[in-house]
Amino acid sequence: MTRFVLTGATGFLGSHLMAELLRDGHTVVALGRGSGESGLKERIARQLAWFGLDSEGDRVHCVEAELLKPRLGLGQAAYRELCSHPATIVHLASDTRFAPANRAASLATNVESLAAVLDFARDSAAPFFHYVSTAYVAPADCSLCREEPVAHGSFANIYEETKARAELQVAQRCRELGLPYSILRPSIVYGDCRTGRSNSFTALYHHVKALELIRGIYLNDLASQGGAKSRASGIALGPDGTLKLPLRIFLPRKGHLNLIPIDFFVAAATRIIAAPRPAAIYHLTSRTPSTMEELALFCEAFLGIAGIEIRYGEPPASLRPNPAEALFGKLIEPYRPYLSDTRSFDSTNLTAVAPGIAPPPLSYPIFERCMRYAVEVNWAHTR
Amino acid sequence: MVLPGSAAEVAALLRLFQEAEISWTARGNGSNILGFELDEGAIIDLNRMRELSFDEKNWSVRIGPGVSAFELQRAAFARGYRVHVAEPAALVVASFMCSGILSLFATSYGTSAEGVLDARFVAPDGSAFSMNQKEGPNLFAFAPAPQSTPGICVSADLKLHPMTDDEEGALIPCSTLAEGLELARELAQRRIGFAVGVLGIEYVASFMSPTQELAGEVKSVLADSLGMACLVLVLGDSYAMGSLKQMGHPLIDQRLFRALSLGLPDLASAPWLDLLPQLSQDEPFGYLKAEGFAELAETALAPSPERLAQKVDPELREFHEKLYARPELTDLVWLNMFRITSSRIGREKHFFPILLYLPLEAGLIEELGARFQAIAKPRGIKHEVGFVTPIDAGKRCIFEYDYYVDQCDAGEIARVREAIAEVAAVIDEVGARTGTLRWMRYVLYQGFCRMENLLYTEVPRG
Repeated sequence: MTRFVLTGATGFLGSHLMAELLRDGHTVVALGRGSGESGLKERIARQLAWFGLDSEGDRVHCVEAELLKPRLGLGQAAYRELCSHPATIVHLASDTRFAPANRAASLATNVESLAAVLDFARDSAAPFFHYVSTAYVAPADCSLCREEPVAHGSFANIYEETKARAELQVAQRCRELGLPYSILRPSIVYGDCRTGRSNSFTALYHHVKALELIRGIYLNDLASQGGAKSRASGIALGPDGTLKLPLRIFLPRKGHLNLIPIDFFVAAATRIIAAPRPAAIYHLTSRTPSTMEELALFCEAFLGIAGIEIRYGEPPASLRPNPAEALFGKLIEPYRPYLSDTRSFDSTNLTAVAPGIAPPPLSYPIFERCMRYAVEVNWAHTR
Repeated sequence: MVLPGSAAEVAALLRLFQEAEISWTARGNGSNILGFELDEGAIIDLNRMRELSFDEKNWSVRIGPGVSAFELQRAAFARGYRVHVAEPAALVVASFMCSGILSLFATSYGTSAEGVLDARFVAPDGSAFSMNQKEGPNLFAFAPAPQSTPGICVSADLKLHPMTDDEEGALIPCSTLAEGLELARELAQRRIGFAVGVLGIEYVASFMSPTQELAGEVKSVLADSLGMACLVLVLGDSYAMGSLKQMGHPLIDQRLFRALSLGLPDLASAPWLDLLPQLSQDEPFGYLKAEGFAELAETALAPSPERLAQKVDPELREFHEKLYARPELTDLVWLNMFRITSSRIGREKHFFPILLYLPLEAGLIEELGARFQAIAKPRGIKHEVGFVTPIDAGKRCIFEYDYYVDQCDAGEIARVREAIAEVAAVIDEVGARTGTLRWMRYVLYQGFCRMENLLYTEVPRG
């Protein structure tokens, strides 16, 4: 059985990969921090419980580490001890926020932390270093993106930019160290397509959550307050209980959203890790991305609303968005570039290492399964 | 208890007390901001001295020591002016005698002698003097040590400030106190807004809520559900509001504030509330920037005086409905200039404010806040950040940290006394280290000092 060191094991991708490695009988060392009043051990224990892996806890070792500090912020003895057991490193820790205001934090987490992590790889004589990046490091104007080192281009947000910079740094430093490495580039990940389960509700879920919030406000207005405000915005209940919610979404061009389920990510990543190929880059992406029209229909069907309209081109100067449109527009702002994305991803390397593994197209049954789970667990929020 | 009606009567009384060796205490409304009690001997109650006359050519209003902040502000407001005053029931001259005026308006109006054109006193020996008298006592000086009273102020000429017809208020939520402090400093430095303050959540929840129970719910919503650590209140004209928007800050503007204030009952129980912070992790409170958010809040909360009044005791509902139907009760400018906002903070318990003048530096303020918290917590004393207001273009600020004490609980009073002794040691230590701290304790009887002497005169370092 192999020993793995994971950063980001409390995150969405990291926790699923950790769970799968444990199920396969491997040992995992989780490097990370506590959050709020919870220590790393407690956070990992919560994740394991979520996966029903409480009894596997003895094969998980938690090391409270600060990735921005030399020696991972550990004392000399603790660092020496950690380095004395060479392990394959999978670096997943990442700041996934997009807003420019988070630039400093994104740079720190996504780029600057690499120095200490790669030092650790060197000091522990790690046999392999896997870096989990994003498919969207490819320039936005690239029509078919290859599994190749990042090219210069413009980025939609600080997340893409920092992941691209990190890829370059990983490649350069690993070459200097003679450390074999690979880069995994997933696209946008949602829950388990078979069970609908998920422990993170961003990206695809974000839009549904925003719509649910808006729907809740207007349904309450119509049911309890006479609905005058709703009617003023053209919002009303249909005879079948469907909420007529006019929501125009203006996009610069027709595009598609490349979505993959977490179970596909895990299956592909474990295959890559099991048969590592030095300097290989893998696209973990969908061959059948979803259109905005499809997703709008899925949202309408799931939430019992009607009226989402995707329009292409500049919004007319005379457009006065109703409050629902304005709030929805504001809430999805960080994701807006992805709604009209036209990039396609070549996945030759992945097919070679994991033939027969491909993500399913996002159908309504899968969408509904995932969203139903999200609603059942109240978007993982407890008040 | 004696109630003189004029300066001459005050002078006669002080001469008499000196001859007869009778100690005395002048009182306004009974105690000062730090809660000091009345002393032994004669009590000179100044409530009968209610002169209130305007000299508009000189932007001045003369008041006697019996005039309250509300009376003065109402009279000034009716003439189109604003005066820098303390809480509504406070007697204005007494506020100056004790501490100078401490409010969010200190950002532009300054503090201590900045608000005064002249003041007339009767000294303990019965002689008269005024601030603007070359050979009189130098009240403009400040000494960082306890002082005795210079006498009794029998009238003061205060500055009248102009108002414009486009004044508005806005609240900017912040995820951390440091973020709020930095914003307040920047606003003061850029001279945006005529009143600026970083308000603790307890403070905001208290002033928005007509009942203590609702205040508790609102505090939980703002802090726990929405993730606000503090709010920066800015009062300014339309240009100031435009600047705030241009700076890209999410704003609770006047309309949204009204919706929140009158919709509080629904805010506390809104099922969709938890989704908002989840949806704005990239840009905390970014939803406030959505055009029409106030209208959406109105749709969600159905704000109305009637709805809010449902939260008070049945016998008070009619009164509250009428009260909240008045636009002033949700007008941030009016509420602050009449100091209604801060008057609810002591509703649950009396509060003991730890008031300091110091540089507007997040590190220093956070250090002091953490140490005050560490003193209060193990003693079971309720404690909160009150407010921070930048003064003198953000070079300094007023920082208030509050300890709450149940005046009917002897044990709690003893614990707070013990805590305050420790607070004093912390302030002395940090003051000696930095040379820039001024504790309100030493400002007593020096409220007429020159602001610069108070803020910048070097304190001997330890």
